[in-house]
Amino acid sequence: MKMMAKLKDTFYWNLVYEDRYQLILEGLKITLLLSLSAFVLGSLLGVLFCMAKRSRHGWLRVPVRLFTSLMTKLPPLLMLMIFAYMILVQTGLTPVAIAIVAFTLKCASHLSDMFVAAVASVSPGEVEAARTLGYSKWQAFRQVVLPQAFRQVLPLYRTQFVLTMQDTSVVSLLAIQDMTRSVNIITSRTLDPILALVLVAIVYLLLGSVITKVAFPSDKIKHFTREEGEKCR
Amino acid sequence: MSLIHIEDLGKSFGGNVIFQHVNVDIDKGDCICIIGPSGCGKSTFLRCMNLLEQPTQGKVFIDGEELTARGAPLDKIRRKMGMVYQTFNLFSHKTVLENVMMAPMQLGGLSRKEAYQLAMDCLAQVGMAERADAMPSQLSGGQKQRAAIARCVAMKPQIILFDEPTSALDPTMVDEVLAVIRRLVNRGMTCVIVTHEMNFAKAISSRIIYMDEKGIYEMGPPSQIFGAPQRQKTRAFIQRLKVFRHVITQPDFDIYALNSGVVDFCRKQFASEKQIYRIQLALEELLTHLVLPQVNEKQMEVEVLVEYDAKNGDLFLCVSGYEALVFTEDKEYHLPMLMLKALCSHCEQQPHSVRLTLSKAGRLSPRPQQQ
Repeated sequence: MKMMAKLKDTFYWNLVYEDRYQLILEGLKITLLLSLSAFVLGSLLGVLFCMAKRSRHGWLRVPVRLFTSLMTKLPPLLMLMIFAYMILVQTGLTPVAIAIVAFTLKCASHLSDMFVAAVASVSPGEVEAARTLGYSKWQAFRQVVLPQAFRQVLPLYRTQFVLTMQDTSVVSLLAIQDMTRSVNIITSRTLDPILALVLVAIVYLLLGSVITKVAFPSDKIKHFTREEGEKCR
Repeated sequence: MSLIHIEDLGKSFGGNVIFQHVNVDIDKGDCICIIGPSGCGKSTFLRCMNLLEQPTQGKVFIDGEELTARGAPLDKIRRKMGMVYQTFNLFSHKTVLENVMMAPMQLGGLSRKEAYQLAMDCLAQVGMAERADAMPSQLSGGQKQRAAIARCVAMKPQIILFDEPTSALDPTMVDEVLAVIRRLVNRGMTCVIVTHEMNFAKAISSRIIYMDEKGIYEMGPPSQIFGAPQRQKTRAFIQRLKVFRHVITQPDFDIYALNSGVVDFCRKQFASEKQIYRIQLALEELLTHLVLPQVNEKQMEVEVLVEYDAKNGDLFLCVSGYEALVFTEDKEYHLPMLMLKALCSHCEQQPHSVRLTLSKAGRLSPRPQQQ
């Protein structure tokens, strides 16, 4: 009974008093906003980076390679500081916008590496075979390279979402109240870190596993079989 | 105009000329086999014919249309010519059936139903209808190559280019692929085949191109190229097909490579398995127990010759040293000589050399007992 009473107490001080659960919800919103926008924009930009890295033109390929290599090697906190205090300091962007720009670029750099490797893993002989059947360069890429590269990259792509979400936890540096920072605030007031920490850890876990399960397309291919062929005969 | 017209074609990488000044006309229904030593540009020449490699000079006409012209409708002209690769290159994310259906549906504008019927027809032609739902990774090499041929045939090309179609296959699977190609040729398909299968080339082609010296060195009907080659290098190449020669200059030479070279040669000559087994034993016995103990390690020169007499199927193994080698039944060499004699049907000894005859008819002697 004593235990229960204590638990109830903790629950009250951490979440209910002063509507502190609102802090966590607000934090969740920010975390979702940051990681989803960085990931979606990063995916689009990652495709562009990948194309640039595979380009015939050195003036395009070399700078993009250097840039992505830098972005993938810097620690996220340092990278965020460089964007906030050096590069974007004059632009008057809000901290959230700065964070989105920084994490988009970082995510795009990681993804472009994966995309390049996935495209390179498709046998050039198959592309040649498609070309000799009469496919154009683009058709061969679309029909032969892309489906295979896609299946190759999918597991890594899913993981990258989780990594991007984790990276965004350093934004408290810019006084952005994401989920990690909201825990920090609550525990500094209640001086009782356990409940809030465990709760937020569970939310991160759920976010990661649910989104990677639900939001990504499946890599199962539906093959056209002989049986179906006989039916439409 | 002929179906394929090639005018002064050449290809070089940097300053390195692969081939040059090639002129050929190929008519409808022709079957051309391209042979020659490795590295002579056979494959590159074939790849230049459909512009997988950009030739550095000359022109290629397919059915009157110039493929090498600036802005030529490459993808459209390429549909007239299929290509079959040494490494099969089936689309690995699709089943065999989908591999064959893909191009007719996406490029030929066939409906799914039409494409299915066409694909099953083509697969039946190569004996692969049964495996239509298999993924390429589940197939043997020969099956993959037959599926690749079906994929090619489904586009109804006027010409098929074969780039060493059997070189990546197990010896046991070569025949099934060659049979499929033979059937295509017999139905009047125009084929250009780069191959190392000399007996196949001899039997099937209407013309043989021997490539050497950076170009077409000699061209003619198989009877000419194989029977009475006109030029020196062709003669040497054809001669090499009949004689295996290897000179050993180091005491620690690779005996296994030599052995497999001899076996390969014998297989190509259609020597019997018994003969091949016996020649392997004889070679090992000769080299390890008779020759190597006798030679001077510093100036070693031992010649191994294997010949095959196609008329009565006899296989000859001749080993000779340029220094004195003793091949007599002296005390020391009594036992190895005895074993050799047991292995062959005739043994001719000379002061510097020994010549063994392994006849096709001869029985396989029982392995000599250890004494």
